[in-house]
Amino acid sequence: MRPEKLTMCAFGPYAGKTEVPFSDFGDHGLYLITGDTGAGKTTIFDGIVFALYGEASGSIRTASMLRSDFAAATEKTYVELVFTYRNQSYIVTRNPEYMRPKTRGEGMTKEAADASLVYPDGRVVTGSRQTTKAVEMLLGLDRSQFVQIAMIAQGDFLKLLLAGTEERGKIFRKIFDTGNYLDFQRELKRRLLDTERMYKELQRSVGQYAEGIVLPETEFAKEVQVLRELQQQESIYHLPEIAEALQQLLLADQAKEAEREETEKALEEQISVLQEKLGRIRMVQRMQEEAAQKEEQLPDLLQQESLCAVRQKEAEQKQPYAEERLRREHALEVQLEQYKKYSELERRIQKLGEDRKKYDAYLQETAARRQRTEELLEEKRRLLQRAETSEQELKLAQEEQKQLAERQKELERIDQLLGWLSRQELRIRENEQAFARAQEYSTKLGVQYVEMEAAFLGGQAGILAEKLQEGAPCPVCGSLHHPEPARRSRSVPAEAQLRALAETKERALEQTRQLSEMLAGRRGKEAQCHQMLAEWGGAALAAKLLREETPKLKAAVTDNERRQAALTGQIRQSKTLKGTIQELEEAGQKLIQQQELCVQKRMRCEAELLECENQRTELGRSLPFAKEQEAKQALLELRRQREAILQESRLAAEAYARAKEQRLETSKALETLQAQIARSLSQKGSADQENPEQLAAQQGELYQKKEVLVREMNAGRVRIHTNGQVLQQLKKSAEKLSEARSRYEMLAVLSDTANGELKGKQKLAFEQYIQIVFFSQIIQEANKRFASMTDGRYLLRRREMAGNLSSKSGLELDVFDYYTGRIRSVQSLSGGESFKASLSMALGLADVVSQYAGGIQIDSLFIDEGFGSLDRESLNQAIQTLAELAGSSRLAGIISHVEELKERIEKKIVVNRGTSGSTVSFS
Amino acid sequence: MPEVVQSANSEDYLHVTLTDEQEVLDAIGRLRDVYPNIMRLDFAVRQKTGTNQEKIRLEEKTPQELFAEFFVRQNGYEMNEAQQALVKEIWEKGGEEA
Repeated sequence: MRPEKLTMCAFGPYAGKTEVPFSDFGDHGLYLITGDTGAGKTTIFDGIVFALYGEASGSIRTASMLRSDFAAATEKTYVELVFTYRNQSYIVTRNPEYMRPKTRGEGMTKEAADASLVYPDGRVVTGSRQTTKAVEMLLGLDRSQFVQIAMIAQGDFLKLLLAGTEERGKIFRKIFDTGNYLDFQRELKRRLLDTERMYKELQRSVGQYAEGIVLPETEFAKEVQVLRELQQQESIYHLPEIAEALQQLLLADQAKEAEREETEKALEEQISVLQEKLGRIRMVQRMQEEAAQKEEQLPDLLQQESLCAVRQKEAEQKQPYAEERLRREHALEVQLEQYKKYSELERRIQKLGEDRKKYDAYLQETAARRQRTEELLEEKRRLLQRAETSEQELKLAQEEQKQLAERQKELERIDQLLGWLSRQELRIRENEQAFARAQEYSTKLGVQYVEMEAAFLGGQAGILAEKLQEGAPCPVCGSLHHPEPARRSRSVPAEAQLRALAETKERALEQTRQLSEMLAGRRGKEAQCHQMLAEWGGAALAAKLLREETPKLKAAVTDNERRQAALTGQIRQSKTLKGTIQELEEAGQKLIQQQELCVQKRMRCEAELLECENQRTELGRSLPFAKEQEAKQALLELRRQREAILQESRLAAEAYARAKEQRLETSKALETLQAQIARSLSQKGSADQENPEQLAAQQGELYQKKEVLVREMNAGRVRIHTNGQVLQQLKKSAEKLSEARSRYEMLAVLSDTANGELKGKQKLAFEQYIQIVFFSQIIQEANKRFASMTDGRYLLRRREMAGNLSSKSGLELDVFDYYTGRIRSVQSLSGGESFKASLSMALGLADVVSQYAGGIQIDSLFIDEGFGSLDRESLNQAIQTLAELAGSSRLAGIISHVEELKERIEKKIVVNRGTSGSTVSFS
Repeated sequence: MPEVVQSANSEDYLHVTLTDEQEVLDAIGRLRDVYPNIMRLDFAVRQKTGTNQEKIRLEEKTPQELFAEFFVRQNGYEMNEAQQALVKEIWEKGGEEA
């Protein structure tokens, strides 16, 4: 990986666009990056790292802080790096996330982090994370590895050299990713602890099982003794012995159990024999007691029987009373039928009375209705009579109407004539005026014509004179000389004018004549009209007549019409009236019929009622009780008395039968019992001699024995069951324990080895062992350079043994001094020597890292500061070393502000700090 | 080696190369007794810098093999089968998690 050109814009201390053309420094040798502290020397390296990985070189220089504080608001922050890798050229561009002013409007907006990588074949990868991944794939290094190889920074120098095992271990873990090995160690340890815990739990459970063994209190003294002693001790270590002893105990217990069962059976048999004997004795006793009881009862029963017999006889004597009552009952039952008839009659009488009332009411109503109908009929007939007079009145009215119409026509005629006359008069007046105007006009035209004719004739001389010429004869006078020809008057009318006027005059005369004729005609017509009006006494009287008569006539006509309409209505009504009258007459007829019918019905009803009342009186006389209810009660009473007598008799008979039966039963039972007792006694003659109390005592003893035995058996069974289970558990646990133990032992060796905890051995953990391998390789690489830097005086060596076995060790560094042949601590080296040693170590580390990253060749590296502490000689040697290091294929940039280096190194990048950001110059 | 010592002027500014095959204790101190102006000391035979352990090539071995070697080195005997199986299981499990 070789950077060719770095472009930074608004990045870190660089406000504007700054370009660093690394390719100008060639492909090998040294160049110096110099400038004031804080001007941005290291930023150049940061730029490269940021472009590749999106993070700066130091962890403090976070990506979001990378935008330059000097940058103009509109300036974009980005870094572009052109680099070659395996002779191919790549371009990576990247910008950090930063706040910039909005392009439109006020305020700030966030520019998101972005990046892209352009491959030599033109392929492009975009996106911040994707680009970082692509770069990692390409170079085979992650950021921390790259920084470690490409940059040997100020702080790392001494840290790497002087760190103890612990600290160096951490550094290696980060760079070489030895965390896996540490995880492995820890996993082993964790499993070891788990197994240990499990083992202890098993131990505890074994103890619990052992304590759970049930020991018999009295039996098997030998086995119990053994077990008890074992229980006292730690049970786990005597597991087999405990199991064996328990096994023995179990076998003994089981044997004993069988024995006990036998004994129990024998006891049971004895008890049942005794039980039987006792049972028989007790039965005889019970029978004897019963027989005695019955004997005692017998006399009482006999007495009872005779008493009942007496009572029964008494009851039988009352029988005739009952029969007498029965007879009376029958008589009463017959009479009860009559009561029914009686009440029926009463119901009938009531019904008939009600019917009669209904008929009366109906008759009354019918009479009222008949009267109303008569009245209505009267009224209608009156109305009909009046309607008949209306027809004559109508005829009169119609006549009157005709007269009125004639009169109306006459008046219309007068109106017409008067109207015509007034119009005629108006026209005559107009005609007279027109005639006067025409006459005047015609006269005026006559005068005008005379005047114009005179003027025309007078003007003829002037016209002639105009045509006169000297020497030519005058048409009038023939004179050849014309000393004073007549002058042409200016207003001489033309001949045409004269003729037109003559025509106009003629037309006016004609019109005058026509008007005169028309006037004469109209006057004739007016006279005719007056003549006609003379019938009504002339125009004035006729007009008056018209004025007065017209409204009167109109009123009379209206009145007549109204009267006629009313009369017509009445006449129309008379038809319906006739219908109504007929209907009413029919209704009246019907009512009369109904009335008659009702009167007949009422008479029939009355007759029946009388009949019924007679019957009732007769029947009432023959009945003993006033009411049926009373008769019924008397009947019930009779029945009750009769039944009481019968009941009494029945009960007495039953009581007697019962008493008799009871007595017979008792004496029969007594006989049976006595026979049984006699039989039993004769059968078991020997049983008699045995004392029942003695037998019971014997039985009680046997029961007690059995109880003890059963208790023992139960205890034994529980014990056998429990101990059997314990034995099984113990065997199982023994297996598990031995499993766990062997697993623990196996794990213990592994874990102790991996974690460096083997007793009596060096405290070397697995991770450390791996780190030591790295460390040794680094030392080997470092020594190649360190030897030449110190003229072969020193050799770095890993300290083989720690101060003691108990502390972690293996990553300490010593130095072998050939001059003295002694090994001493690196801390004893002088400042210059320390620089050399640490530079060697750093380079060695870089070599080893690149080896493990698949032989990555970093063709360009940076060395940051660390030269300040060197004396002149050491500085020379350091530069020489660096120059050699750069050799023919590497380009090494030294970042330093040490003056002497500026003199010694030709190629330089000078960083200048300015008030508005830093700038870069090259030389 | 008195003849060698006397072959040079003791006041000379010398570049000395020692050919001893054994380590020489305090070589510079003893030389300065004779040649106070000695400028440089070299050794014909370089000291070995490390033990065989450091020759292990890490990248060529699996972590399991490395641990097996480490186990032998620390204990003087090899892991049994159960232990090997366990180590294998842990590494494979770790590999899955990673």
